[in-house]
Amino acid sequence: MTQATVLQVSNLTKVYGREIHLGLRKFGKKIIGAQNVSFSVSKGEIFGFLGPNGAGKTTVMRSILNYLRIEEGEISVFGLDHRKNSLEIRKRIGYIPGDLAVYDNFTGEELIKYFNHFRQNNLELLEELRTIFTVNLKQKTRTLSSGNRQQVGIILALASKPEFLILDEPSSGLDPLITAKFHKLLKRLKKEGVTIFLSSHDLTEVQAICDRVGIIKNGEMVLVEDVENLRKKFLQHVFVRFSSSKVPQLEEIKELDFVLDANQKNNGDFKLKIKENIDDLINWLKGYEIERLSIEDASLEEIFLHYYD
Amino acid sequence: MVHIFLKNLVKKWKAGIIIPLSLGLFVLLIAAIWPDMREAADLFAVILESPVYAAMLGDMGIFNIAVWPGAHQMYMSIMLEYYIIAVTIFIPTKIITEEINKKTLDVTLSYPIPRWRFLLEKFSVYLFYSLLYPLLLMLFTFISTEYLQYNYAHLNVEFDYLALTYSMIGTWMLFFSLGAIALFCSVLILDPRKALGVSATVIFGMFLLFRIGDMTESVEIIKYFSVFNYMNFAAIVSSGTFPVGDFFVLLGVGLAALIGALLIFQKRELKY
Repeated sequence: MTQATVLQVSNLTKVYGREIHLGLRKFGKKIIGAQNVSFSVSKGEIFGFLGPNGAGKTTVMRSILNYLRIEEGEISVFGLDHRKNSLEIRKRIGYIPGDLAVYDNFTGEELIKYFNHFRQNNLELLEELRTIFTVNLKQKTRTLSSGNRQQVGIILALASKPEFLILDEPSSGLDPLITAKFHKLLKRLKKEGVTIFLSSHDLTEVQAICDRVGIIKNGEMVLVEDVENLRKKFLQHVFVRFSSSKVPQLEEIKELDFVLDANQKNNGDFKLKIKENIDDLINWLKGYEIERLSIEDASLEEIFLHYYD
Repeated sequence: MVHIFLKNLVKKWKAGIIIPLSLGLFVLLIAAIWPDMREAADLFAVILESPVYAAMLGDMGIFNIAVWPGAHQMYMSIMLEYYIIAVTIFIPTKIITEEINKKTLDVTLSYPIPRWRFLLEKFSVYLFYSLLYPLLLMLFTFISTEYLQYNYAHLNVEFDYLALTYSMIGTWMLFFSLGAIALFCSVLILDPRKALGVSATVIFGMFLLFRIGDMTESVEIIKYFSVFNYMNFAAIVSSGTFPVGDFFVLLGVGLAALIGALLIFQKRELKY
């Protein structure tokens, strides 16, 4: 682990429930929440955590916060063991749970005052957050809409400007304008050295603000990659128009190793989905006369769906 | 240091005061109807011989309602018993399960608060408002007795406040001890419905053990497994002495359950 590593997760395995075998009969059920999950998040980085519901994102986040007991593996935050030094770690983090709920008989202001007490009255970001978020902090939270309650949750997590933010779908329920301001703030905090570990369903959000992403599937981390590299390296769309002298057959294209998928448009142009090595494509194209060629990076959403198809 | 305690004390003041106040006001009601009720004391004595009443009242059936202390103690001890059962089942159990139900625990515990301290401060709010039961009962008993002495001087109304004080200490110890047991059940189970069911079974089960053991000589021993047997209101009022041994039994049970609850909550997985 380098000195700049804020979060280090190694071989995290979490199993829910248990199975008891009595003779030939089996009682109970074991569900894998996370299996051998390993990744790290460096200081000043925004790490996006992707996966559909039930993939294991929240399990990993709640394990980091020591809410869940892991069966195997190690988690360290700021180089400290997440169990032994939980209190020390919690002094330096801000957390927004996926299913955010706050005391409904408190106003936003009361909540800020109540929780700030545990952070030694440090409200460095509060005034700025007041200008970004439109929620009325003088209203009891039970009277607020879910989007406004989410805003209160964000203010609570960020007000003291913690060194490490663990955000489980932070922008769910926020309107696009506030989401954009929130993203801008996260990017600025990153520049100021704040580390952010963020899960999201919104792939556009991850693509817009994250430096790296991890994709989790059925509790296993299937990919950890730099966002830009991921788009370039993993999936690209190729649009090609061959001159009429020599045109390959669609079936022939589909059988090429580097082609994931291909189809032919009505005007005769081909659309190819290729993976990783563009050199193979260029070598193959040398055998043809090309009238028009364009290559585009796939969106993060397509890459994500590729892993889930 | 007591930030959680103070904030919750303020937030819960309505329920914290209204419930004990309703019990206190019941003393005034008894005082208002007692002068008429005492005329039917002989009839009451016959009714109290019924096995149904004997099961319901236990030792409390021995009070002579022809005199004000007897009527007061009988009705108050019945009410108090039911209040203790209801309050200790519902309120301490909900200290944590309500947070789980409303999903507020994840945000709260992401702040640097030791879990045991969070639980202890919230339980202290319950203990603080539990103090109001004996205090308000004593206050309204004093007011009622003064009212009766002033308006019904010919009935020579008197009251043993020392015995009442001893019994009220016992009442608060029961709130502490049973509340700690309910808290222990709730942090062990966590699931709101199941925890409430287990707390209710344990507390009501102990009440039944006490009642059955108290009524049936052959199984008398079972009442010693119930905390309701210790610092018993009727026994203290009848003897007028402070049962030091019983006090320490309740203190020991309460502390063991509370420390157990704090340790479990500090260490356990918050899976829900």
